[in-house]
Amino acid sequence: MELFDLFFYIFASVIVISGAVTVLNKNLIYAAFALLILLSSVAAMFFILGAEFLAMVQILIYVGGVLILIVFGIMLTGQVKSVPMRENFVYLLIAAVFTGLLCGLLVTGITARPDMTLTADIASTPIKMLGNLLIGKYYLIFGMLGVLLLVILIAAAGMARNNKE
Amino acid sequence: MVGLNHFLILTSILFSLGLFGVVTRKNAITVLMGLELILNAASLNFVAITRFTDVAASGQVISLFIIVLAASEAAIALAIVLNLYKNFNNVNVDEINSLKE
Repeated sequence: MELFDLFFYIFASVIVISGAVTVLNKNLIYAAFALLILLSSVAAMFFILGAEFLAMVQILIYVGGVLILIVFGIMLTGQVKSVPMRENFVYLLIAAVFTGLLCGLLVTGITARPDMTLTADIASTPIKMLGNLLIGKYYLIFGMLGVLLLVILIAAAGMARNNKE
Repeated sequence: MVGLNHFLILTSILFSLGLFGVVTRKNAITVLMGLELILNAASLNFVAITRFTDVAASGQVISLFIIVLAASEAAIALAIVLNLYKNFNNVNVDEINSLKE
């Protein structure tokens, strides 16, 4: 349990700091690398919560796929050092106030309810259980996601194609 | 003693950071990064709630679906951004205000 707390605090601080860097950094490549650290730390969080399969999927798909796509997007559009924020300071202030307010509201709502702690040590979720759920209870969503991925594949290829002769 | 509330607070902070990024950044790709933050907050929430309550592994399956959706969203969004860059020569969401040149 002690180790669980320690890892939670380490990865939580890494997540918050790298999230802030992702959102606030002027250089887009630095922001992308902060996003890399953030996604890996979320994978580590999955790991300490006993969801090893999900942690692996997070690393494979997010770090290996989505992040590479984003870096390609940054490089292909040549926006590495663009003007990052809205220039108007008032917009920034309003956005900061309202997102801070939202965050405070969420936190007060969460702390108002009784905390739940773990009764037993964390055991890893058996992959067999995940597979049974995927093919059993959530089969409709699973199948629809398959169709969605096919549509996305065709649409992305069609859209990214250079059709100007 | 770390409980469920710690995870919920962490994900609210992550969600707020992502929302701040979405509304303040001008570059379309950074808006996308903010969206990734929000989606990650949601999936971390699902996994944490699965662990601290006894709902089998349903939250983990939903989290898996979120990851798949995020990947397809990123693919489509990048295709759109590349097309925008081809047509407008920038990806500034403030200046892109027509569907066709």
